[in-house]
Amino acid sequence: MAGCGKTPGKAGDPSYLYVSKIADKATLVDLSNSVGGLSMPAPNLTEASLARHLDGDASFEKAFIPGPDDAHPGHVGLGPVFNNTSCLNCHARDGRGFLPPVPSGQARVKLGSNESLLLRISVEGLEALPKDADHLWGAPQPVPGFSGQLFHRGIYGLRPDSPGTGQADVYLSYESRVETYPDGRQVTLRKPLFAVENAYDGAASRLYQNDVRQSPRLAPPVAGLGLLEAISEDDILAQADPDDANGDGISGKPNWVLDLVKQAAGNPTPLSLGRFGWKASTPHLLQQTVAALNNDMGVVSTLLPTQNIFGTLLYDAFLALVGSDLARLPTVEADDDFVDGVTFYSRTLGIPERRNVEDSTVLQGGRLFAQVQCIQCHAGAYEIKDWAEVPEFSGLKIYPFTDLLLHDMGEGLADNRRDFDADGREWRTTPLWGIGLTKLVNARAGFLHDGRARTLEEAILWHGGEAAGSVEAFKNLSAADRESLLRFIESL
Amino acid sequence: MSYSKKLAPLALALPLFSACLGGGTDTKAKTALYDLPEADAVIVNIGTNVIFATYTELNTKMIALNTAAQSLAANRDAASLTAAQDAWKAARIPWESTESFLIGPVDALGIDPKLDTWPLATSALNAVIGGSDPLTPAFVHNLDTNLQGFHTAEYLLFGDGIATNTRSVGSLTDREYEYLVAVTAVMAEHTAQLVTAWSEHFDPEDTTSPAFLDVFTLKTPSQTAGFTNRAQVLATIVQDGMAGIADEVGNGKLATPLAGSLAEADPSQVESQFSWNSLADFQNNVASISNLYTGDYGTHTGAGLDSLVQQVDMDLDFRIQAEIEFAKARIAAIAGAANLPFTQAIKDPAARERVQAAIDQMNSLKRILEEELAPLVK
Repeated sequence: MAGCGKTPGKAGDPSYLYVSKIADKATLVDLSNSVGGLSMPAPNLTEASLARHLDGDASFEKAFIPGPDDAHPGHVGLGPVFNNTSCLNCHARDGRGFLPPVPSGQARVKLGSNESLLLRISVEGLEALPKDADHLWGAPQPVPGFSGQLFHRGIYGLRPDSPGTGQADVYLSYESRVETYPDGRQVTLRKPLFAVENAYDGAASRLYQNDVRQSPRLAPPVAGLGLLEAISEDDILAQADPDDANGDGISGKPNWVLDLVKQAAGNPTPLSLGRFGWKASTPHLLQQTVAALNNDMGVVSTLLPTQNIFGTLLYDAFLALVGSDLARLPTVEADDDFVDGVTFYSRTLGIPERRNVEDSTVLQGGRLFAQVQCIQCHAGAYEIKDWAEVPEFSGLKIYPFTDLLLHDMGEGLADNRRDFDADGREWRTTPLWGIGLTKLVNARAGFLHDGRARTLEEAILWHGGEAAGSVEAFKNLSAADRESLLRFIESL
Repeated sequence: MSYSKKLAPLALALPLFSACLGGGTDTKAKTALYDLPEADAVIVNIGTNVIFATYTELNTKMIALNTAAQSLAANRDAASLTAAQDAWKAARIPWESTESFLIGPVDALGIDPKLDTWPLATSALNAVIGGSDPLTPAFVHNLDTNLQGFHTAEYLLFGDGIATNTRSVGSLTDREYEYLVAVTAVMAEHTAQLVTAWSEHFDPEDTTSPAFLDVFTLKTPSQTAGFTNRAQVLATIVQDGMAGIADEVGNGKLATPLAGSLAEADPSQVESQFSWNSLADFQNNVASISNLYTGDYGTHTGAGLDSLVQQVDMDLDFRIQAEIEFAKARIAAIAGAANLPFTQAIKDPAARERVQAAIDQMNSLKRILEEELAPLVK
């Protein structure tokens, strides 16, 4: 599997070791080692697909404003509550998001008008609810008066008491601890904490009650998503071992999640395999697009035509604010062409070619990646079957370094919030392809679901649960071997 | 502008690489520019005397804009309004001149949208002006990106840009003066932050983090902060920077408002439409490309990409410089004898042809950058 004749290497080398085109023909080979490396269309798109990609790109960049607005009627749809104002603002250069800096001398910072992180919220009892239509199929239960996501921004005038604020203000601060390796090396790890204040429903806000769960979610990269969507369900499920039947300590679990398209079609059990989002709670990119439009920006579409705060007192405040202008607001703010465009755009970005593949330290790191068992979850090759959505991806052999399954990552990373079949300690394995360009694309980008890790090393050290054995093995490697492993991951 | 247009490769030549290993059998006829001995000096000059110098100039002009806004609020006379309008245009020059290098802190600190979001939330803007919230910098910090920055200040200074690109000083209300002062103060905070990030430490939370100039010039190459080698720097400059803004100007800023026909032409899509400053903006975008290529900025002359290209292909250097000059000329020609602003040019049949010529030239510039210069930094 490694190489085609002229490849050097040792017997037993992992199959990915010498592969530089980890997305096969969808790998970017020209100039992807640059700040724009995650933002390029897959090079094997037909001319027609490329044109469609570029149209979708323009939609991805579109800045929404509140309506009605006679000067720019084509841009209305933002709000009344939201987290940011365009896809691009959270997914800048299609790379990972970043946390706002806490100014020197201050203990915390308020999330503002251009963040790439948001909080998911829900109410939870001790037991998971039945997975049926009455209980949203296991979806996080919305907080009464709120929903499943906290919208920290609001259109001007919505909160006369607090201009710019949406449902509540969110403040970021950090707690830190020091991790010490067996060889004495020390690394400071920090975890962001989020305090919610100034809720629109007052000092006794439902949001402050102790059955409310919150989960910070940083914008993940957009590059490679279509290729992940193209992987067959069978190939993903073949890796699942939820009861650890083979006794290796790894218990990858699929997340069966609500599929809005199936639901709209009247399917009595509208569940699909989730694969997108930090807990694999989204089944396909069309749903990602409409859900992000509706939730993150308050932009309604034909598939999700209801405002995210509809039925709450804050929506009533919006009705009072907009008055008779309500009739001038479009009922569909992102039409089907727009939605299809954004979906196609996010499907058709390429993955950059690996770098420094044959450096001796990278090769050594690649072997260690298997030896330390990272590969158990950050798994290897898939062959895409025929995929009608992007036929150019059919038949490609790809190495995204994810099994797309849920794993218990331990107490340190837990958000203590269920999300369909994912419990409070479980997260979907993050794809590692493209990760080596993260800091080139944005020098302050963060790793892990809340951006807490400033470096790959910090990200590794936060792994726990099913990964505990791997992390122990990593910490006990020599310093040189640890560096090699990091160089390998940086090559991806 | 807060958007950054991605590239549209004009030719999709699929290299017939083996699927086994990363490389193919391409043999470069020319040395890669980043392997030339002078490459380091070029990167240092571009970083220090073009990029950082542009940010320094931007900050200087932004402070001056805020000062002019304060004078206007104090004096409330026509001369002060004209001076403030001129100060806005003067600050716009270095900002548009950064658009071939919108990388680093302007992204990593989320500053770009706070300075240059378009379109404005016009209805909300009027609600802010008509309301009673104290118009302080703290208040502006809490506003959305579509209610602050360059174009908000532009709207307050120049009016709606429809019949004219000015307004009478008597039409400005107390609250508009306050809003203008507050918005320009916040803009100056952001540009100061950019200067600090490039010259002292790029991460405000970590004063031990390197100056981004040091990261860019590879003085402190850093996997955890950005560039680690010259190839990355030059690939970024050429592709993401120069070719990127050429594409955006041609296929976005010029083409979108022009649309397919006079009937479809849409002045509401025009950048800097209140001040009628669009064509100057586009000229400065092209100047941004030129500055990176030549290594010259203001009165400074230094080694740019041109000094590297000249070593491997004199003819290419000549043609790139020609394409840049043609681009400047085509944009300058749009206004025509009637000195039309861009919003009017797209509605004038003869001017529309000149706009199309400028678009074609921007695509010609983009082509040479992508297809002939970029391979030299691959």
